[in-house]
Amino acid sequence: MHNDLGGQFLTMAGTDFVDSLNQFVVDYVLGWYNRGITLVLRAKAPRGDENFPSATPLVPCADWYEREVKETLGLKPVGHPNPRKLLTSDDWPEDLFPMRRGFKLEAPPPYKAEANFPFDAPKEAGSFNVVPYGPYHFAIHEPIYFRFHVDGERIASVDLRAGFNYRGLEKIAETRMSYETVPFMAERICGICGSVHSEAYTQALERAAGFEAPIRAKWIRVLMLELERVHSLLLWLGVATHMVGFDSGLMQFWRVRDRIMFLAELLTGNRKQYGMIVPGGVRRDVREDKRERAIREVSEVLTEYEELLDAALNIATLKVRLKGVGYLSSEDALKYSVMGPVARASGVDVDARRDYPYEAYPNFEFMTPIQSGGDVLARTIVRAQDTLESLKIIKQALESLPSGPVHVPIDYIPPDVTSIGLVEGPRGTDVHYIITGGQDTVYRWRVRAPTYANLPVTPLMLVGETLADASVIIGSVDPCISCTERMIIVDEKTGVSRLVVNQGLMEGAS
Amino acid sequence: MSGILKLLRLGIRRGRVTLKYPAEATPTPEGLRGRPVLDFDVCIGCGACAKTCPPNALTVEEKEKVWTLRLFYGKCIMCGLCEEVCPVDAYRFSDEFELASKTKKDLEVELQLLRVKCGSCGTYFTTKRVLEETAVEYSELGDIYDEGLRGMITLCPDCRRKEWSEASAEAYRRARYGS
Repeated sequence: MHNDLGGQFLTMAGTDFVDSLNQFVVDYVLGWYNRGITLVLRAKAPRGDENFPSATPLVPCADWYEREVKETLGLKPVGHPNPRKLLTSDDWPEDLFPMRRGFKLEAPPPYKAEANFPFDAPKEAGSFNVVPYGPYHFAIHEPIYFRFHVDGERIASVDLRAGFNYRGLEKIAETRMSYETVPFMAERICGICGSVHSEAYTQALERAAGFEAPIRAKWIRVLMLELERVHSLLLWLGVATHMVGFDSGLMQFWRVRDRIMFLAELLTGNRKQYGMIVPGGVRRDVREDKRERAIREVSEVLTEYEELLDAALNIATLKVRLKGVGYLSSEDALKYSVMGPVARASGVDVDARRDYPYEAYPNFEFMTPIQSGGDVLARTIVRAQDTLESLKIIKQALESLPSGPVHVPIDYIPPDVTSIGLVEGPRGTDVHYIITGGQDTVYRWRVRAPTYANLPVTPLMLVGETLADASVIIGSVDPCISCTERMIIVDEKTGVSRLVVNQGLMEGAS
Repeated sequence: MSGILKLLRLGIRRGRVTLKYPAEATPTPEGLRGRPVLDFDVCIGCGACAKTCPPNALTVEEKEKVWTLRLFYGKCIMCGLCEEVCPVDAYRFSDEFELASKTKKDLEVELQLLRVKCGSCGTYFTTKRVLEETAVEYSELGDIYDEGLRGMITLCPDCRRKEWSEASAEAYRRARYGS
C-alpha cells in the first residue's frame, strides 16, 4: 500500500498485550498526505510464536521501526535484511526486552561481558579507509556515530549507529506517570521542539477522549507551535551558516532568533519549556496588553528578518558552497517517507498543518514553500521561506485571538483506545501513537520524532560526496538525535556547544 | 549591492545586542517559573504536591509521628504543578534561576511536620495541620458540622469508615424498626 498507492509511512509500534489477550500487537500507521487520511494496519503475534513478516524488503523505511520492535519487544521481523541493534547499547543482553510489561524500570541496568557491533562492510570492492564520525564530533553537534568508507576525499559507503541516548521515556510514562503529567515529560524530549511533542501527545489523548479544546486554547496552541518553529528554523539557519564557515550569518540569524525568544518569554514567562500545552487546553492565558506588545514585536521581527534574508542568502559564495551538495531525489524522498523541510526541498509537497488539519490551522492563511533542487541549498531556502510564513501565522494568530476560556477539564478518557497525534514540527511531522489504559495512565506511548524518518536517508545523500561536505549534509537534515531516541535534554544550545574528542581520526584500512 | 556588503551594513546598523552576563544582570520576565519556594508556615502537609510532581523532585516520608517533605531542586523541572494543586497556596514562584551549586545539600529543602494519632485505634495517620485545616473548613459548613462529625475527623480513614457505617446501620435500623 505504501509503494503502490502512494502512502506515507508514519509510524509503527509494537505493544505487549500478553497479560490480557495473550498476544503481541504490531500496528503500522500509514497516511495519505494528499487526502488527509490515516490508516492503522494491525498485525497480531500470539505468545510463543513471536515472529512477524518484515516489510523492509518492500518498504525500506520500515527498517528502523522493525529493528526497534525486535529489540524492545522481542518480536522477530522474518526476512529483515539487516536486523542489527538500533537503540539499546552494545552490551545490552539480546534476550531482555525493555518494552515488555514484565520489565521493571527500577531494575539495575544489565550488561553482558562481550559487546560488539557488526558494522557493514564497504559496499564497493576495493580498499578504503575508515573514518569514524561521532558520536562526539566537533562537526556534528549530536550524539550519533557515522562510519565512512572513504576513497581519498570521496565517501564510498556509509554506515551509522544510533542509540547512544536511549533511556526508555515511553517506559517511564507507562509505569509511573499519569495522563496529566506526561505532557511535561513529552515537552522535555527535545530542547527545541518541546511544544510539538506535548501537542502531539495531547492531540492523540484528546482524540481518544473525543474531546475538543476551547477555541481560544486552540489559537494559543498554534501560537506556541509557530513560535517554536520560527526559533528552531532560525537556529538551524544560524548553525548551517556556521557549519560552512559563514559565522556572521550565525550571529545575525541568532540575533533575530533572540527577539523571538524574548517574545516567548513575554507570552509564557519562560524562554523555553513553556509548559503551556496540556490535555484540556493551555495553562496560561495571553493578557491583552501582552498581546498588543507581541503584535508590535512580531511586525518588527518580520521587517528585520526580511532585511536579513535579503543580505545573508544572496551571498554568491554561500550559494555555490551549498548548491548540488547532498542530493536527495524526490523518488527516494517518497520511498523513504521523508518528512518536513527535507521532503519539501525534494519536491514532495507534505505539510501536516495543511494535510491533516489540527487545532486552529484551517483558520489561517499560509503557504507551504516547495523547492525541487533536492540539495542543501534547496533545504536552506525552504527553511528560510518557512520561517517567513510562520511569522505571518504568528501575527495572524495574535491579531485574531478569539475570546473564551483557555482550559476545560476532560471528563472521561475511555480505556483501550488507539489514537494518533500528528503535528508538523520544525523538522517534519511528529507522530505520537497512544493506547489508553485504565487507572489514569497510558498503556502504550510511542513517539516518532521527524528525525527518525529523516535520518535513514542521510547515507543516500552522503555517498559520492566529499568528506568536507559531510557535516553540512548531516546538518541539512536538522537531526535531533535526542528526539529520535527519546531521552531528555535540557540544553537548548546543543547547536553550538562544541565537543572535541581527539582520538586519531583515521583507523586502519579495511 | 552584493550580499556581503548588505550584511556588513546590517551588522553595523544593528550593533551589539548581547549582554555581558554574568557580569551584568539579566532581566527576568514577568511570570517566570523560577525556583519554587515553599512557605513552611503555610504548608499543612497534605502531600498533594508530591503526588503530582512529574520528576519526583518532591517526596514524602511518613515515619511514626514525623511527616517529612523533601524538595530536591536538582530534579525540579519548574513545571509549576505543585503550585497549581496546593490547596493552601504554600508555593510561590521566585525569579531565581541560577541554581548551580557545588554541593548537593544546597539544593535540598526539608520540612518536617508532626503527625497525630487516630482517636480510636492509635495509629499515626495525618499531620496535625491537616486536621486543623479540616476543622476550619468543616466549621464553615455551619449546621451540618455537628458533634458526630467533629468526633469523626480525629479518626484514621479505616476507623472513620467503620464508625460511619456502624452509625449509618444504626440510624437505618432505628428508622426501619424503631429503637
